[in-house]
Amino acid sequence: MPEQKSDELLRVLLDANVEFVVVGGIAAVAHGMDRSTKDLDVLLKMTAGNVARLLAALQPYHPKHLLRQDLGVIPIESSARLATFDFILLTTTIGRLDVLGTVEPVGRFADVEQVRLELFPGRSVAVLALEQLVAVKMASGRPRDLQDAHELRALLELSQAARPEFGDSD
Amino acid sequence: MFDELKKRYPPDKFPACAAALDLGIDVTLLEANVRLTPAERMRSLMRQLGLQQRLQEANLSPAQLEAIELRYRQEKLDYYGPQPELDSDHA
Repeated sequence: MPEQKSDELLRVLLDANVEFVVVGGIAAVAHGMDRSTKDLDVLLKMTAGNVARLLAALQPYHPKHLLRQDLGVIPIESSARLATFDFILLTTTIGRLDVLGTVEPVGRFADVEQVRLELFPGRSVAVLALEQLVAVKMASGRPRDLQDAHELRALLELSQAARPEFGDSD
Repeated sequence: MFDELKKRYPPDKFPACAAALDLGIDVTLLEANVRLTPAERMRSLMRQLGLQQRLQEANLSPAQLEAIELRYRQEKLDYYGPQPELDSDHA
């Protein structure tokens, strides 16, 4: 089981100019949710070129299909086919990465509302907007996600209250 | 304590916070997180994760670690459904 270095995985993707939006647990944490998550989920622009950039960037970390590790390292030449998938579950020597083509109910890369958050000093990362993250958690229907949705709604309220236009003037 | 929190987040002004409190969510932790920068939140997560992994590796047997890994994969399968068929060249 590789050590999960989600921060390093994100830096690798940024360095390679891969087009993606962080969704899921890390997006929730980036917005302020109190959660320890091993999952790094990204909504990827599913074009052959972008998947090729992703695979090329991950080659030093030996990317394999999480559920078919027996097939060995995924070659960059697989990009065109993989770009047709709805999701690609990867494992690498620096952790796991769930690559999604669509996130219900908000859609594909081009459809979603993203915000840029400075997750690393001087480097911003595209993250799914908090309102849409709530919608994703609600749509999942899993009890854990419904609980998360409540937490994210509270977070949204607190974030709005912290903005100057909602300040403590009263 | 709970009553103090209910006063701090009145339902008419903070309906989502009040609902979260009723579900047992610690809204004060959220409020503390809002004051952090995204980079600070990310650093904190990575610290927690590193500690959690070191504790697991130090205290769990290989069989227990393998069981956690298998459960993780099963949860992925349950959530995403079956992966498309892959042949030996991944195509």
